[in-house]
Order: sequence, then C-alpha cells, then structure tokens
Amino acid sequence: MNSSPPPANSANGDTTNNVVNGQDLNLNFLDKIRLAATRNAKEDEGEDLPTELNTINSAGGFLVVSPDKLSVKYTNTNLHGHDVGVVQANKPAPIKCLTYYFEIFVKDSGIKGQIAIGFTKESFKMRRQPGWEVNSCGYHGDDGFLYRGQGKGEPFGPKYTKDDTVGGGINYASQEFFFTKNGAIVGKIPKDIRGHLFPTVAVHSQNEEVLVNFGKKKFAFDIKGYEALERNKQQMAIEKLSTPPNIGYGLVKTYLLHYGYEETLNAFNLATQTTVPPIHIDQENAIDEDDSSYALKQRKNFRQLVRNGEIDTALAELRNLYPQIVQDDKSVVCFLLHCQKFIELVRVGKLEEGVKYGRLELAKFVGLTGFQDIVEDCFALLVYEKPEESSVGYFLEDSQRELVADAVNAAILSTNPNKKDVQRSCHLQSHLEKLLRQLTVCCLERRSLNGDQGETFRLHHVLNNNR
Amino acid sequence: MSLFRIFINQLEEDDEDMATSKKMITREEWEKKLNAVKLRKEDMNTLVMNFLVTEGYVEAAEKFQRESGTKPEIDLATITDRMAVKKAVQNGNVEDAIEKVNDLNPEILDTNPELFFHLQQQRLIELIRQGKTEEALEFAQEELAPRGEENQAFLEELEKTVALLVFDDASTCPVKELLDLSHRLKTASEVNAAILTSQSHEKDPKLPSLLKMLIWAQNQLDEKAVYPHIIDLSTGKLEDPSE
Repeated sequence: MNSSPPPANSANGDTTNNVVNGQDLNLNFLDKIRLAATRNAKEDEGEDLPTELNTINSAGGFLVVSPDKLSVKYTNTNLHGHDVGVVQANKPAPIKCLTYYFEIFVKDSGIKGQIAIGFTKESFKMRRQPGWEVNSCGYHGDDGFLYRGQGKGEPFGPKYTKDDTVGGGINYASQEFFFTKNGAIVGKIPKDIRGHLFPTVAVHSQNEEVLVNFGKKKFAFDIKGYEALERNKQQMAIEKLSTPPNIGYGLVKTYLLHYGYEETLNAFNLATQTTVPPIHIDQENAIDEDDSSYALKQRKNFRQLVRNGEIDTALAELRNLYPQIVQDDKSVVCFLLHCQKFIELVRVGKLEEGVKYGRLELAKFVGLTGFQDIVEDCFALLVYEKPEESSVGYFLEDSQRELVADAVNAAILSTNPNKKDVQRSCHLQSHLEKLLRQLTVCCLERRSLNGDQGETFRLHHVLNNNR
Repeated sequence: MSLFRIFINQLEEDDEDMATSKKMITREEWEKKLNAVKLRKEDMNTLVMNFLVTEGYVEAAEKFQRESGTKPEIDLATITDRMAVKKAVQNGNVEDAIEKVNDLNPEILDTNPELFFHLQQQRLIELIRQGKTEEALEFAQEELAPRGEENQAFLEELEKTVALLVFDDASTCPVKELLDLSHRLKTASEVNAAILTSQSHEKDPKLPSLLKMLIWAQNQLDEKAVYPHIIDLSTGKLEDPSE
C-alpha cells in the first residue's frame, strides 16, 4: 500500500479534502482503534525474564539442580579449578529496563564455602567460576573478592556463607554491576561486558547448596528504592533546565482549542486572567497564526453530539454544514460514524436494528483493506451476551466515542480555507502531542544507540507514577 | 589471557570507536518514527487534567471532565477548599486563611512550622501595611517572638519584618519587597503546596517537567545523532537538522 500522501494540488482540489487527508486520517484513526484493542495487554517491553535455572546448559556432572529449578547443590568432591558447578538462568537478563536484579540464599556452605554469584555470557565455560574467565564477573563468598575476567580478583566486599542472602544486579543507567549482602549494597564496578548476560550461580565444594530467587519471592534488598534513587538523580538534572515562562499554560490552551473543548477553554481563560497576577501567555501570537479557533463552536457541538451517542443528528448536521466531509460514503469519517451508530444500537440492546444498520451502512467496508479487520471486530459485539466484558468491549467505552469525535474534529479543521497546504498535517496533532512524540522518539533513539539498554519514556507510566 | 583473546578484545574495542561518529537521521525517517509512537488520547487528556487540577482551576477541570470524560485524579471539592485558602492569602486575609487551613486539615500547620511562621509573618506584614502599628507590635511580641527564639532563621525574618515599622515611608526601606504583593503570592504558593502534599498529591503539575525532559532528551541524543529538533516548544514545529 502506497503510504506517502498524494501531492497537495491534486485534481480533486481543495474542497474534497478526503484525498489528501484521507491518507492521513486512514493511518491515524483506524490505527488508534487497533491500538485500543491492545490496551489491556500488559505493556512491557517484550523481553523474556529469567525465571529458573537452566538445567541443560550447566556443569552437569558436578551439581544437581532441584526439580523446581530454583536451587543447586554441589555433589562432587572437588579436585581442581575446572570442576566448578556453574549454572545459569534460563534466560538472559532483560536490558530494556533501569536495572536487573536477582538473589541467592546460601543454605549450606559445604566444606569450603566457595560459592559465587555473578553474570556470564552464553558461551561461558561452565566448569569455571564466574569471573575467572573473560567476559564474566563474579562476587565470591570464600574471599569476598570480585573477579572479572582474570584469575586474580580484587578485594570488594565481605565474605559470605551459610544463611546469607547475596544479590547481583546490573544498573543500565550507570552501566555498572552491583552486589548486595543481606539487604545492603556491598559495592559496584563498571560493566564493560557487552551483549546479553545470564544471571549465574556457582558452587564448588561438597555439599554447598544455594537457593535462587529470580523475583518470585520478595528480595532482601530494596531494589525498588534503589531504582527510585537512580531515577531521582536523573530527574534532578532535568529539573535544572529552564523553559519559557508559562509555556505549560500556552500548550494547554492550544490543546483545548485544537480539540474544540470550548467550555473548558472559556473556564481556563477566565481562570488564568483572574489569577493574581494574571497569567500572561507569551504565545498568544502563535495561537492566532494557527487559526485554531476556526469553527470552534461547531466542533464543540459535534463533539457533544458524538459523545452523547447522537450519531444520526451528527451525520445530518455534517451533511448540512460540511457536506465535503461526508460526501464520500467510503471515507474514514463516514466509516467511523456508521460504526459508532452500530455500537450505540448494540449498547442499548437493539441488536436487530443493529444488524439492519450494519447491512446497510457497514457491509460495504468488508473487503476494503484497512477497514475489514475493524468491521469484523465491531460486528463481533453482536455475539456476546455482555459485550462490554468481551475482548471487543473497548468499542463500548467512552474512549471510542472520543476517538470518533476527534476524527470529526480533524475533518472539520481540514476544511479551513485559510490553512496553507504545508500546514495541513497539523490538523491532526496538537502542539502538545507533537512535543510528546518528539520526547518519546528521542528517548527511544537514544536507548537504541546505547545497545538498547535502559528505560525509555512512556507517558502512560509517567502518569501512573510507575516509572 | 591468550594472544588470540587479546586480539579479539581489541577488535571489539575498535568497533566501539567507530561508533562515536554520529548517526544521521533524515527528516523523512524521523517523521516515520514520530508517527509510529503509540500515544493514547486518554493519556494526553489525563496530563491536561492533572495540570488543571494542580493549578486549582476547578471550573475548568469540571468542564473538562464533562467535555472529554476524563476523571480528575482528586476530588474536585478539595480543590475548591484549597483555592479558597490560596485566595484568602492572595487578598491579605491571612487570619481567614489560617482558619480555613485548619478546617481542611489541622495537621498541616502542626507539621509545617516553617509554613506557619511564614503565614504569621504575612499577617504581621498586612497589619503594618494597614498602618496598625500598635496591633502589629503586640502581634509580633506575642506570636512571632517566641518562634524567633526557637529558630535563628525565623528570628532573622522577624527582625527584617519589624524593620518595616521603623520607616515612615516604606518605599525607602531596604526590605520593602516584603510589602510587595508578590510576597503574598509566595506565601500563597507555599500554602498551596503544603495542602497538596498533605493530600498525597504532587504539588507540581507533570507537564512542565515533561517539557524539560524533552530539552534534556534532545541534548542527550545530540551526542550520538543528527536529527530534526523541536526548538520552539510553544509550536512543536520540527526543524530540519542543520547541516
């Protein structure tokens, strides 16, 4: 499918804006519906997490992993340095997050207490302690040393033994490994190993036994607190930057204008003008240039109609006031409105009428690429006794009405004869939205150039303080 | 470490050095990335609502709830109370404000000695402004002096405020900014923040922080890539990479 927009001076001229804008509206609003369908899916970064020990890739002859794959015991009597009982987690540590952390509990320190916790790569020689080989690191319990790629380690922290809980972690923001003992940080070292790293545990003398916790149980160390501290560091650096005064007010104002929230806008203007001192919005000139108050009252009215489910009235009024928008019955705006009418009928249980309406107005979209999947999902509403609880329940939510109202709003804005062609795309996005998109992409790109490690900006998380 | 291992490590390091030259991203590529971002309308609405609520614009928040279906994160009635306190201070009715704060939540002033002192100080300023010299002195002695004895910083503030009395013409007084209306606003802001905190609500709206974060993110990315920037935050206009 050709995704680049046709030239602005198309044969259809300025009055039917559907050709130029049809492509834009197509990509935008239909995709937003598809996005709504995934809303309840857990919003993670799509990485598998380590959950248990890997019994296949381990130093088989020297150790025994428990059936639940969360503990390991050294069964051999060790004779030399190439019979270490090493075992890795089943998956490498995730990287698209601020930190990764796991813990071990020393159940039995055996004859010599030669236990280690650390990180190794997939190709690690499974008969050596983590840290004794290049591209690995390990914090060893018998001497409290940290080993990172050479036979000789360096003094790092306390030794550890039976009944101690020791943790190993990666801080992607500072690019460091850190280790803890019984809930307190022991120390950290720079992480100079690249690529995927496996949480690793090793035992080396008879009867040593270690339990591993990949997060199923509460950690002894307050990893969340540690992450909060790390985020705060970044936040403090950010807060020092300066922005133009009252820029927030300007952006809220243009947002309200863009979407036609007229009543809110009026209350907002009144409030900002009557505060002490009155808020001076520097960007007044820019706002006027935008002409974003074009058809404000009508847009507000149409939004109200759609939000109240009065689709028939909305369609009639559009034919009356903005016929160019609804001229093409196969346009995205028409599709959305017809869909919404169907949804409103289902909402009040008028299923038979819904079917009739669907046949009349929606059937024509089946078979049209770009519409078909949505039409089918929408029709699925008929099947359920309690459609609002089904997997297509999102159609019945308030957000769907808002989406249709936004589409109508965008269509009306695009009929503004004063708008230059070049600026046509801005009827789709408020200034605020553009800023948020830029912020997201900058953070994503930065992370991607950093080996894809670390957290990125997600508005949804920020709003819920889940950062 | 074997020679072979040393050689391999060196090659890996060289790879890293090559990467320090910046990645070039064209405007077309960048716009594709921008459009690919999954941004939900509800989240943007929530951001705006958070702004209205934290700033205390009750009517605007109510209208926004009606026009967009967005739910405010705190009970709007608490905003009205908070705004009444703020307004009282802004108008110089500090006694009234203190009463209202205690009605709202007596713990706020109990747990915020600095705030309480600043409110009392503002009260003193208002008395001086009204020319009620005797009343002002009495108030200073009974209410503020004891606090000054406990705390050096308070004492200094108190002395500065009392100095206002000494000058017939306040405009010649070196601490005349205390009489400025802006000082009322400062105190009002302090009270506003304390109330929000007591309601477990962040005292600042999120939007301004996100704007700063945008500047920060662009600065960070500048180290590794050349790409279109947004320079004018009020329009969000994309500027081509300068080359």
